[in-house]
Amino acid sequence: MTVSIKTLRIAVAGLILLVAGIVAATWESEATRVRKVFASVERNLHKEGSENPVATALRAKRLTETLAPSARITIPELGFDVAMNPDRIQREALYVLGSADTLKVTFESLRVQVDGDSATATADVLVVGSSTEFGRGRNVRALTTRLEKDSGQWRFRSIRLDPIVK
Amino acid sequence: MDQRLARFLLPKLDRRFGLRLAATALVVFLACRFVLRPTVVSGESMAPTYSAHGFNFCRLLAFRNREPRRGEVVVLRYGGERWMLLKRILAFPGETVEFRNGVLHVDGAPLDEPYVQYPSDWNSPPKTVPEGWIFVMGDNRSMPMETHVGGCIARSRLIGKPLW
Repeated sequence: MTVSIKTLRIAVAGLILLVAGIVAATWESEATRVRKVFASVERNLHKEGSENPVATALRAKRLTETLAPSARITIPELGFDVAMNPDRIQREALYVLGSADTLKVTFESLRVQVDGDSATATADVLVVGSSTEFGRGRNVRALTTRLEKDSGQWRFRSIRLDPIVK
Repeated sequence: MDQRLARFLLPKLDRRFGLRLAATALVVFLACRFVLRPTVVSGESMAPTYSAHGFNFCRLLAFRNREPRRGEVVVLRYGGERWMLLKRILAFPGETVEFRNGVLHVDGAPLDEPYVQYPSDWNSPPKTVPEGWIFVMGDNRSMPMETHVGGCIARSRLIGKPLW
């Protein structure tokens, strides 16, 4: 069997294009991975009604997994500045998810800057929710976070919430 | 019916029409994204200048070549690009603002604000506008100060001004 040079060239070019396409489709930048952490938080803080306690516990666990051990959470307007261990984070997450009847958290204008194994991300966080205890409410805060990469996984090292209008 | 009018009202759905429709959609999309963003006013904080549920456009290029002026109504990014604030710029970095019996004082002098129509009894301690920030407030100061979104906000959140 003889293959002409022209056919061979076309086959090689096709192969290169195919490999490039696969790489482009599967390659993920670190910034994209950081954005996925935010998407995961959005998903796990989305609640539309009463749910099975097991499902709530699972969400709380997933949220805990997005935070580094002893992650620092700072909310200056409440005088809150605490480094939390995973147990406390899970307890707080369970409390928030358990007490809210409906909850939707959205990160808008998300900006991510990656520097090696650490990253800074800023966003406006919109929280819309309702609970029998507090009624309906919506709130917006400016979010500044630092994340670090540990064993290939991006996790929040610090979270800070500030009012947009002071 | 006149043939031209008939063609206008019932266009032939050919390739040429499809191209025109696509071009129009593209122009409208680009205009709304980069030049004039449609907005709906919600809330009464700018009454009586702007009332709730009013429709407007935000001129995104308004401050491309000039700085905003005191007393100008501006649009600010609040919750991302979806939730914006319509407020009036009242003070700039380095200036000190305070409310005394409903009257805004800038650097100790009362500010003439003919657009404020409703009586106000607001009082607040002096506050200096930080560098890179601006002081904004709505025109309706008859509501309790705690429920009114206004104060110092980052200059970088300024995105434009209303068309009317």
